[in-house]
Amino acid sequence: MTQQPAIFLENDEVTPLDTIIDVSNLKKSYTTGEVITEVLRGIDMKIGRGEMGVILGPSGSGKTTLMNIIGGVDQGDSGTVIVDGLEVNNLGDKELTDYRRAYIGFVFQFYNLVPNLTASENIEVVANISKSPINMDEVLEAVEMKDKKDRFPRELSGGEQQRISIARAVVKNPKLLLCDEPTGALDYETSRSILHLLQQVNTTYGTTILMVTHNTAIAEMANRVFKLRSGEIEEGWVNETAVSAERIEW
Amino acid sequence: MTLLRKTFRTMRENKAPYLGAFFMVLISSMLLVGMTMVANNLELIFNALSADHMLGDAEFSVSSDLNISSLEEQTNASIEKSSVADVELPSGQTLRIFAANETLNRHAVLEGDDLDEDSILIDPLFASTNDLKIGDSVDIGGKEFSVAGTVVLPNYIYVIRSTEEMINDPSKFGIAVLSQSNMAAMPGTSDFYAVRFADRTDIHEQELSFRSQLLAEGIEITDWESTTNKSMVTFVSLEITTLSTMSKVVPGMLLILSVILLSILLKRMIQRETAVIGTLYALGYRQSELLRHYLLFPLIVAGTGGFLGVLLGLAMVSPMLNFMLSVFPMPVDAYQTNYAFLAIGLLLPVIVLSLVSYVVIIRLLRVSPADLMKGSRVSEKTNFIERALKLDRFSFNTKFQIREQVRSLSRTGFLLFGVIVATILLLYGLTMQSSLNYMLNEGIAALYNLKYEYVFNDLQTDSPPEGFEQFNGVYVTPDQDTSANFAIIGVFPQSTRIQLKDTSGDKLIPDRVIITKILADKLNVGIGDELHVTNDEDLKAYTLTIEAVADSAAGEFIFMPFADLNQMLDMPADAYIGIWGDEQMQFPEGALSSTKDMDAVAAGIRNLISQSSIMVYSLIIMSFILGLIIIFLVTGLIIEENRNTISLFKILGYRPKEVNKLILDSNTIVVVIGYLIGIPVLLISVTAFMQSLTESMQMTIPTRLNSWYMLLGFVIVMVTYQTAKILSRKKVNRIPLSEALKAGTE
Ligand SMILES: Nc1ncnc2c1ncn2[C@@H]1O[C@H](COP(=O)(O)OP(=O)(O)OP(=O)(O)O)[C@@H](O)[C@H]1O
Ligand SMILES: [Mg+2]
Repeated sequence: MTQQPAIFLENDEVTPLDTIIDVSNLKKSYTTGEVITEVLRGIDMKIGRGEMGVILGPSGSGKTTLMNIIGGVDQGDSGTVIVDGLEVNNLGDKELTDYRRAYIGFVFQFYNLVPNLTASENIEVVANISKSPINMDEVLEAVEMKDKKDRFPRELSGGEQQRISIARAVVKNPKLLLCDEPTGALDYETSRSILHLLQQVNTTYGTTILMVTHNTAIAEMANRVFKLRSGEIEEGWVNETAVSAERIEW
Repeated sequence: MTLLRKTFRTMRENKAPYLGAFFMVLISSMLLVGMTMVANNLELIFNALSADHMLGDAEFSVSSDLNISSLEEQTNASIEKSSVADVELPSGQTLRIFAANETLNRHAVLEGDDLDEDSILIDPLFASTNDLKIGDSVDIGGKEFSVAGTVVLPNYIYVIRSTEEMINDPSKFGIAVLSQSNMAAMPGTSDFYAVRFADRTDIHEQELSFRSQLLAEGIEITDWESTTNKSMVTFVSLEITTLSTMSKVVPGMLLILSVILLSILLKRMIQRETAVIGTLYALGYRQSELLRHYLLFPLIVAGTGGFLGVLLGLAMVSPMLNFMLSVFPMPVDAYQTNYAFLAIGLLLPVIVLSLVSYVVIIRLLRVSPADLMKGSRVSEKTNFIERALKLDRFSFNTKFQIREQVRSLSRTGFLLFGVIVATILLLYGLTMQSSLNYMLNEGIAALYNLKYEYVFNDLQTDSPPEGFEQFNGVYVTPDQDTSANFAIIGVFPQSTRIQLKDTSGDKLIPDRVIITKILADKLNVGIGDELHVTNDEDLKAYTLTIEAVADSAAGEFIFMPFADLNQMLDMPADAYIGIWGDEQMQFPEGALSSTKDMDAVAAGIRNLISQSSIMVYSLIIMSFILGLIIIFLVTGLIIEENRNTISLFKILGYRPKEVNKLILDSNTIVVVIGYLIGIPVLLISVTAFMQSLTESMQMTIPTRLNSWYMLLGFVIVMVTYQTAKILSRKKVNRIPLSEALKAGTE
């Protein structure tokens, strides 16, 4: 069993009242040829409903891998991942699909919009398969993209594309919104407005958000922060004084 | 060199579409070379036979003997008197025996020795079918002749008993040649003349003036048959025309398909390689070098496909020609390899494919290197239709599928055109069968209420045999179209033998001038129009006013009241030329000019239908395969273009079934539209083909496609489509989630 850093144990006592993500002793390794890379070496983390969590860490530390397992697009080798009471780590392909469909909203670093669909149609991609989607106009209003809803992705700026991508994730009112480097391809100002938007989503819809970033400044807006290094949580803390995205600077 | 290696690697990674294009080019070249060379050689052989053995331009009988030499001089023609007799062999078959001519329609010995006074020559198909070998003896009217060899007559290449029969039956009927002296000694022969004009242009005009000449000399022509109307000869030209038309149409369509396919592949490849192209530019590569690299793709496909196609085409010439020659036996004096066709088969795909590719590549490479290096994708613009589409009222699935089709118009065009081609191939044979069936059931059976038709050599005035109804008739040629001769039939208004209906299905009584719809359409006349015609016998001119149109598919006729016709022809009121009835009759030798057994006519058509079944089935299989390839390639292209989207949809929680539906079902509407467009295109082309048949067959087949066949075609097309979809499903399922997760990172 991997030894856990003392500081984490300290924070672990501050267990959220209503845990929505509960990862314990999650391990994952890749085998390429002869070489085995241990990417996650026993991760423990908890996030409460309605919180905003941030995963920090240098490149290659396993952030994306962890997110992907929580999001149900990848699976860990051992350990448990419980999301809203559902044990995700031993689901079959079919159940995983249903899990993603019902629970998770994704926001990607490179937006991943369907190029030949208009902005609003891209949002419909998800609305189309959700049981009780939020009203389209409301979502477009929320991401301030109502006037550009008929444009195609390549006619939008990166920030605008990310707004549409957030709208697409939010439209189904997911239990959990996973954002992997959502500002990774954006400039400073645009990044701040996107972070602000995520914060708004978090407060307006009460959506739990888990965000990956390597920008430490962004951690200031989170309720809970996990610092990853070489597949282990090196540090984790609860941020009692989460600030508004508009006040973050780097 | 590195770029060449890259070319092959790219092709290997995209096997299916490149193989598809390769095979289309291959089949296209193969058919082009094979079929044109067969058609060409068949034509050469036929022309050689016609010229060397002096094919007559017409055959005729007259009431009195001709003064041949003076007539030859006056009309600048060769004329030869000949004789023919139908002899029943002891084994039951009928042998039509011709006298060996000296100038016109001279026989050609195919195998064995020429005639002498003790021998006979027999047509090869009859000989082989009835197991007659050279040296065997045959009993002709009580006299034994030994078979000297096999023979063909230039005026009787396709051995059928009569024009109505259409399909040969060598187990029952054949032809033979005997020396003139043996013929003279034989009982029951009838004489006829053959004529061939020295001037080989305007044959039809010369025929007319030849006949006026005879009339002027007071000679009555009792029977006249232009060689251009004689199925025994024209079927050969028909086959040649059909072959050479097919040899252009089918390869042409396949070539167009392969051109579109390659353009799509090139476009996709260049778009995907934008960054590479930018880098190569930056490294100092010139546009011409890149152009050369991308041109390699069509060159390899067209070059190898064309080359192999030409080889296979060459290989199929000989067996195909031999097959043709077994049906239309002719002496092969010269076999020509037409190098021009070889060159065309080889170069046409290369030129067409590289030309189109050149245009596509140049257009795509026009982006400046600077833009390219910035990574702006080559001409991946939103096209005007995509932009103009207002899809708000549709469901998401519909929207997505419409956008998917509109996104790549060339891909949609490829699918549409491919389905049209497959539909045409699929329904071509079925339409032919359906048309023949229609002619048989709705046409002949509906029009004629009789079993036998007897036409006499001379006008009759006695009352007809019990149960028979008399009719009169005359062959005329309309002034507006000298190639379209037809019969005007005089029938009693109270006739029970002829049953006519108007176009709305109501009974038409023949108490006025009625034209069959098929003839009205051909001559483009309607009710109230005047028709100027010339009597084929005596060349007198008449004018008829059309009073009704009959919806009959039986043929090209004008029916008018018996009395009116006789009056118009200036004949006695009770004169008739033929009778209709239900019983078989015996008439004195030489009294009849023709006998029509309606059951035999029907049997002939049924025979034709059943013989065409093999062709129909092979066309169906061919179109199924072609359709499968095309739809499979298109779905392959769609899946390739949508890898990222498919992966994304999976991540977002779409189930495999839903992804398949979105991606693969978008083709459904295009396939259906393709089928629907295919039908009228097919009907138009079949009608055109039937028109060309009319000229050599002496009958008009109305184009009909019955709705069951249409439904059957639709089912086959949809089964093809579903099969291609099932084959493609695995491809969709194999696309990993990581595809979209990594998007943008490379
Ligand atoms: N499919 C794979 N096969 C083998 N190794 C992999 C695979 N995916 C990820 N890895 C390895 O796992 C480790 C963690 O990757 P991961 O993508 O989780 O890092 P990350 O923290 O998200 O980095 P970044 O900040 O660069 O996105 C890396 O060392 C990577 O090389
Ligand atoms: Mg990452």
